[in-house]
Amino acid sequence: MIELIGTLAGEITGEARLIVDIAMFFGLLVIVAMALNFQYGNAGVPNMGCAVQVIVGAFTVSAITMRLAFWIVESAGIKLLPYASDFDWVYNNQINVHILVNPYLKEHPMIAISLLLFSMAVALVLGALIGWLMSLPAIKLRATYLMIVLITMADTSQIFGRNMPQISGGTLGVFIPNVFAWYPGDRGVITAVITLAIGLVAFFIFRTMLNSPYGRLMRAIRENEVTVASVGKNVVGIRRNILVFASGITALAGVLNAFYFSFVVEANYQRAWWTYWPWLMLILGGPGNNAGTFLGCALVVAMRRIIIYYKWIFDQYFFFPISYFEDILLGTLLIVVMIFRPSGLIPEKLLYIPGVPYGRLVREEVRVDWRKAPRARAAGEKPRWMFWRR
Amino acid sequence: MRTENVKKYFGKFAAVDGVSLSLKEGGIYLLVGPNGCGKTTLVNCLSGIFKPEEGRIYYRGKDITGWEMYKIARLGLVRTFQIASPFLRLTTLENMLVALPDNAGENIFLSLFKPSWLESEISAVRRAAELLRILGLRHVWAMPAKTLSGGELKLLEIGRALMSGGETILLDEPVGSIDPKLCHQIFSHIIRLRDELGITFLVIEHRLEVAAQYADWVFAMDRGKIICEGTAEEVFEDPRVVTSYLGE
Ligand SMILES: Nc1ncnc2c1ncn2[C@@H]1O[C@H](COP(=O)(O)OP(=O)(O)OP(=O)(O)O)[C@@H](O)[C@H]1O
Ligand SMILES: [Mg+2]
Repeated sequence: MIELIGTLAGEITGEARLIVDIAMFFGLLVIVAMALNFQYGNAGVPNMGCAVQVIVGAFTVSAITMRLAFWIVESAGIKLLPYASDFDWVYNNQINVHILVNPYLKEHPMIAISLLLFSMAVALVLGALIGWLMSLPAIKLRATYLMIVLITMADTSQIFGRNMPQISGGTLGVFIPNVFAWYPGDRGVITAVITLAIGLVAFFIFRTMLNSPYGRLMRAIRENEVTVASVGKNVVGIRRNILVFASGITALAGVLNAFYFSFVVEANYQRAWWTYWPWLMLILGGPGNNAGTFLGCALVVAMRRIIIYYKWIFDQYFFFPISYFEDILLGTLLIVVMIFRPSGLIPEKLLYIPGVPYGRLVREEVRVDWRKAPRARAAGEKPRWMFWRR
Repeated sequence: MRTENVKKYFGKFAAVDGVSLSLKEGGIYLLVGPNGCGKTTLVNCLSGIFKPEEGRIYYRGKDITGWEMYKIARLGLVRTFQIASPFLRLTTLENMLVALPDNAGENIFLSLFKPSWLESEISAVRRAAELLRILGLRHVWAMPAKTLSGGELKLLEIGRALMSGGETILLDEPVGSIDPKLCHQIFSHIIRLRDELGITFLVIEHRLEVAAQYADWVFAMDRGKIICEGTAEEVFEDPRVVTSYLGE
């Protein structure tokens, strides 16, 4: 059994494990924190519910991808133990996944990779959907109330997971198929690499959007939403789009986290982990610029991982178990940052959209007729090619 | 634009108490009245910040009472704020650019493809730059709005309203803290806009020596009511206006 479970040929240990760990968590949390920076740092949408979207990503894997994998394996003629009832779903899970499904995935890398891509696509859609659902009651509220509503939603979704074993095995959790079973080396390494790659792609997407008139509009909403509305922009709609888009991206972190541990349990998705820590990273690094988010994320992740990894050293110097120190650390850091660097380590710079020669355009002496303003459109009427807008 | 008996209460206090007025296209209307008589509140009702408790507001034949602000603005009824409310951490130029309607790059998906919005952005910058030149703000184009002076902020308010392509523009004390020379320049631009584009203006202004000579029609307001309307001479000779507003 042990040999069967251990698909981690050439497992890495020691310091290398720490580095992979840091890389992995940096990748995961930087996705969440960048999405937060997109929402809060730029558009002023205080998404205190990003844990919800991460949970949705994880639950996508445990509830949907797993069933798809089971179905594929069964179609291939392998007999699985029953898994329909709540009880079977949890108690036969280990044998189904480790002994029956994973070896199959090891033989069929293409199927395994498809499962990974499938999970990410579904999580993207479901994450966006949950973002949209969250926006329904919440988006019209002012910042503070919006925050409170979103925090509660994170807890609610955890409670769903705890009490519906069909989703993620309730309090016990479930193992999920190892989509990297075909990879000869350490699963942690490949997951970390893929996570960092996805983080990089997300970074470029966010950056492109922020360096565009849309990003400028977002910052304008952050500065003064009434003024934005007064020139005819649908602030509520724009904020909703932002929440929906960022939620989809955040859900990817949940998927990757699930595959990293090959295990999903509701208790791993507390709001402290997936909401407060990313927020701390954002505030520490400086909201409004991605460089700050990166720095904040790297600092916090490295610090936490090192504390956990060298727990035994720290434990000698503290009179309480070091694991409790984490929460104290979170609070202390937040207070220190708020007092000494309220705008973060890297404050937001005035951002001009790169590639548009603003200075030259402003200075050139070309007389244009600024009054050729497009005639205001009737409300609700949209330009043909922008049917999806607002 | 036409209003019928618009009333807005704050608690029991009627800040706007049954205002009916109608503006014809292509006119410059002046709204005067003592401090606290409800001028700004009226503008807030017209532009959709407040929903009036009573009465109807029509714009271009549509009943816009209680519409959301952005929808009213998209119909072409835009306003400026008495207390300048710019985007403080955006530069002057960006403040102007945000106001432009239908900027292709402000689409969440198109924003990812720079070629799709670069053209419109460049023409937007040209237009904004020209407006800034007219308003005498071009030298501060790259400064964040929070560093502008009070008068410059008021100019920026006007610029933003013009940039948004409104066809009826409600200016709430547009030249409140602007030097006389620039005031006259701005009003001459307003006149040109009226003549060339048929834009309608409703201007709230206390500085009558500047504003009165440009107004086609004047409304005088006191304690939430329109007490008198007419040409500038008529209104400022009316005894009620004199006692309530101009003093003995
Ligand atoms: N949001 C509000 N809540 C309560 N009372 C208000 C509110 N806004 C305005 N008021 C009251 O309504 C009255 C009219 O205010 P308003 O701002 O319309 O005056 P105004 O005519 O614009 O004056 P000014 O010339 O000084 O700008 C004032 O007495 C004010 O106290
Ligand atoms: Mg006022």
